[in-house]
Amino acid sequence: MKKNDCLPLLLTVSSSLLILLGLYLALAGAPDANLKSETGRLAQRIIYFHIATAWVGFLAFFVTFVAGAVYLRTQRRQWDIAALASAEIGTVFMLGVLVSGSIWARPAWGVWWVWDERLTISLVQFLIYVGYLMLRGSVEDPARRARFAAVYGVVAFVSVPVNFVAIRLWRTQHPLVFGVDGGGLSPNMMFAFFFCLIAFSLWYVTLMWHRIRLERLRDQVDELKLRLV
Amino acid sequence: MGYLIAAYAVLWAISFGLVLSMHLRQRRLQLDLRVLRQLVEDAASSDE
Amino acid sequence: MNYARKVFAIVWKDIVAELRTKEMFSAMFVFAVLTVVIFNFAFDLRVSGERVRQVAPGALWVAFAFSGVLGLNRAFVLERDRGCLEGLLLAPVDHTAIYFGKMLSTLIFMLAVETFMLPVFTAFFGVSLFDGRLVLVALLGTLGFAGVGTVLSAMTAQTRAREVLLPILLLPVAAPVLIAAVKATAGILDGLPIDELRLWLTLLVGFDVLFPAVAFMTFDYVVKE
Repeated sequence: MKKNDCLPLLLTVSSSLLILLGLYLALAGAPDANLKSETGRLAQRIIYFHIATAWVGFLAFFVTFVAGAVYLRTQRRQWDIAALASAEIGTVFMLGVLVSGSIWARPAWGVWWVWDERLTISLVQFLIYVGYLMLRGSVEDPARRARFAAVYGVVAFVSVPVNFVAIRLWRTQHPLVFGVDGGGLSPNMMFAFFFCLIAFSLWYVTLMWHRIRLERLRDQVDELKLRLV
Repeated sequence: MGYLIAAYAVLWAISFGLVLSMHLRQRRLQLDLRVLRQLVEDAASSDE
Repeated sequence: MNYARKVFAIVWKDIVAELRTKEMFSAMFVFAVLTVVIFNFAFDLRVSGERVRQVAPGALWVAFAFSGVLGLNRAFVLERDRGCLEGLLLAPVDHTAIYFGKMLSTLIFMLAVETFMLPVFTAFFGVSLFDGRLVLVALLGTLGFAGVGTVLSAMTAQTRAREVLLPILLLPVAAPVLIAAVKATAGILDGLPIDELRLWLTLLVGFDVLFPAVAFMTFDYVVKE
C-alpha cells in the first residue's frame, strides 16, 4: 500500500508546487506587456493561466477521443473510465477558459465576449463536452453507455478541427475591429507561458489519476451491491 | 487590477470546486465500500 | 450488389411509409415555415432590403437545420417505437447499409422540405431564391447534416432523453456545415462569382466526405445489441 500511495502524493505535491510557481511567474515574474494602460498591462497577465487552461481543455478531449476509440476496439472498462475522467476534467477546464477569457475581454476590449476564433472554438468544445456528459447520463446500460460515449467522442473530436477551420474562415471574412492577442511575446514571457503549460499538464495528469481512482472505487461499490442482491 | 484578481480567483475557485467534488465523492464511496464489505461478510457468515 | 439493394430497400420503405401518412413531411414543413415567421418577429423584418438580405441566409439554414432535426429523429425513433429496428438488424446485411439507407432517406425528405420552402422563403423575404447554385449548396449542406445526424440519431433514439438529446449533440458537430452553407448562400444572394464561394464549397464537400466515412466506421457500434 505504501508504494501505491507514493505516486499520487508525489504527483499532487509536485503539480501543486509547479502551479504556484507558475502563478508567481504570471503575476510577478514575467515582464509587463507593451500596452498603454495600466489596466491593460495587468489584465494581460491573465493569458498565462488562460491559455494553459485552454491547452488542457483541448488535450483532455484528445485523450477522451483516443480512450474511446481504444475502448471500441478492446471493450475494456479501463479505457472507458479514462475517457470519462478526461471529459469531466476537460469540461471544468473549458469552463475556466470561457470565464477567464470573458474576464480578460472586458478590460482588453470593453466587452464581455468576443466572437473570435479561439473563444468561439472553446465555446463549441465546451458544448461538445456538455453533450458528451449528457449522453452518458442518458444511457442506463454501462456497456452501451461506454460505446455511445466513445462513438460521440470520435465523431465530435473529428469535428473540432473542421469547426476551427470553418470558424477561422468565417472570422477572416469579418475581422474583428481590434486585434486579438496584441503583439508577440518576449522571451521572458515565453518562459512563463511554457512553464504554465507544463504545470497545467502535470496538474491534469494528477487530476486524471485521482478521478480514475474514484471511478474504480465506484465500480467496486457497484460490484458489491450486485453481489448482495 | 480587479479583473486580474477576478480571473485568477475564478480559475482557482473552479479548480477547487472540482477537487472538492472529487474528494466528497471519494469519501462517500469509501463509506459505501466499508458498509457493503461488512454486509457481504455478514451474509457470507450467516450462510455457514 | 446485395449491399446497394439493401440500402435502396431501406430508402424505398421509408419513402413509401411516408407517402402514406405524410405526417413527418408536413411536420417538418410547417416547422420550417414557423421558424421563418418567428425570425420575422425576432428581427423585425418589416422592410425589405438590406436588413432582410443580411438575415435571410441565416434564417433559411436555421429553419432547415431545425426541421432537419425533426426528420432525423423520425429516422430512428419511429423505427424503435414500432420495433422495426430489431428486424433491420436481424437482416443478414452489413449494418452500415442501414446507415446509408437512413441517411439517404433523411436527405430526400429534407431536400423535399427545402424545395417546398423555396417559394415560401422567396415570398417572405422578397429575395429570389431560385438560383441553380443554391441547389448545389442546399444539397451539399443537407448531405453533411444528414451524414453526421444519422449516426447521432441512431444513438439518441436509444437513450432515455431521446429526441431532446439529438440537437444538443448534433449542432456543435454540424456547425461547420451551417457556417459554410450560410456563407455560401449569402454569397450567392449577393451575386458573388463562384470563385469566391469555392472556399465554402470545399469545406462542405470535405465535410460531406469525412463524416460519412467516420460514421461508416463507427455505426456498427451504435446499433449492435
